[in-house]
Amino acid sequence: MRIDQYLPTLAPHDAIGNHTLQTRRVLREAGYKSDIWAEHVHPPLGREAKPYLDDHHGPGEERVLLYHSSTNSSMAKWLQQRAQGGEDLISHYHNITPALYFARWEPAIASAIEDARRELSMLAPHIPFSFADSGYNAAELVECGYHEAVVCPLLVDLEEYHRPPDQATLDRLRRRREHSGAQWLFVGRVAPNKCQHDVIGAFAVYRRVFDPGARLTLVGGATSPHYLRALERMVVELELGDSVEILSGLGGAELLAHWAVADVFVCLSEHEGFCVPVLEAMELGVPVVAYAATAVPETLGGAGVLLDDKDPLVVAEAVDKAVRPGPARDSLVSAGLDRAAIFSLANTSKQLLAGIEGYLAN
Amino acid sequence: MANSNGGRAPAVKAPDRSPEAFLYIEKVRQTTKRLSARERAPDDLSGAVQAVRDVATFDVEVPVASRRRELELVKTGVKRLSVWYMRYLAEQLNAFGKSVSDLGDSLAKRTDELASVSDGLAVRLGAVEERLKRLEHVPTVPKAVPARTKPAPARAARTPSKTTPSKTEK
Repeated sequence: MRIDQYLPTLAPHDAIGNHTLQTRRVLREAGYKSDIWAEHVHPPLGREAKPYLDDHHGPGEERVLLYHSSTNSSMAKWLQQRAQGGEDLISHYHNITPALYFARWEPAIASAIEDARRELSMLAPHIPFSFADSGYNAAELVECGYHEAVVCPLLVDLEEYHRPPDQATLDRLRRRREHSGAQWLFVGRVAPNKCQHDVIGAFAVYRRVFDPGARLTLVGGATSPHYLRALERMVVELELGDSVEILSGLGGAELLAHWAVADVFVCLSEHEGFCVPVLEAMELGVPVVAYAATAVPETLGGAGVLLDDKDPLVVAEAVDKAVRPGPARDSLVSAGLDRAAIFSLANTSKQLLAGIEGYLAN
Repeated sequence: MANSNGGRAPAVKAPDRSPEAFLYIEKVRQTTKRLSARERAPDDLSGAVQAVRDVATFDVEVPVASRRRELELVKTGVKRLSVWYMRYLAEQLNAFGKSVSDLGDSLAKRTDELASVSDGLAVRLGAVEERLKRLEHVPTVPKAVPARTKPAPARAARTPSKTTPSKTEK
């Protein structure tokens, strides 16, 4: 039996890319033949996937095609044709950000998102079974006309986060921390749905009201350069000087150094299908303060401070409580570690395999 | 490596709740609100102008960060070699972008003024129509016509028109 995976882009340091590689490992260990087919493959992973147009397997073979759906791709039409030709197509839905968030900043991305939504609906009649990263994603799939969606979180190797951080970066950050206040951190691509502007706003109020020495680090490449520039202008307008840094292109070890000095992880994102950084924060013992939107409450599972209101003063007050040393902070850290254990690679791999085997048995 | 910071007590003993701090908080609220995602109605001219302003800034500071050091060096080199050219273009594009958004502001302002004038006119027109309606419904008092031996002149005998009230109706 062969279970092949299809995804628009296989990239390193990408949650869906890592999940696909882990899924292949789980499938191969369970005795299935499994390959990855992609539209775009980033060079460091060139050997891990093949161009999907080179896939010449026929409908006669005993095979399941597993499509990772998260963006628009010419692959969707191709997969529809394969399904119409009698092949067995299933999917894993990682969510598609609503176009509304990009319409103002990046109209081309908004248009691509609308295409992705159309493709999602187009494939619905051909997909009898789907995985979804969260209950939130599963509900969205069913609303879109899909028959069945089984929740299976992203496969994340949490052990990777316990490798040593980049020592030079860590030393620099520790020296800086000695002379500054609380260190805020948010990790995620610079995109309007992630609402980094709300994090900067809450940070500005926190600095003014509670801790003038506080610092904020935003880590993530820019999906929207226009939004990034608006954030940079906002930092100037709110007179935050160099207390805010927006970093991109960090290696894994450098990012670990930032996690090691963080006092709090603040996520005010309005749209997440799962939110891997929240899981990373819990695994690394960093208290989480998050806005209760989409799949975030589900991933956090009560192991952090969840806010229904992201007024800057409300967020600043919540952060003030979360960073103060004491039992409240300790219990947040401890609850986070317990919660992260639920998403261990062993657990999520079992969930994935059970889902696949349940589908094949039916 | 798990985080073992243990948190951080703020340097200040009491939070700043001064009026200046609240003014600053209000400024922050306005700024974050401005950047928030929102549905824009097709006739929202001010929203459209803001959308132009959001994308009308052209940056010459091309990002050069990369996970690969050699790639970062190449990007830095290309940036240094081309920055004069990029700056020349960006200055013109930024000036154009500013002019377009200023034009949008002027149009939005003018449209708001016209809308306000038009609203005023609509109110006045409504009042005139109301008044006209009232005038049309004033019952005409029939006059006793004295008996005459010869017919009255044509002008005096004419029945008042409904649309042109006679002097007696005023």
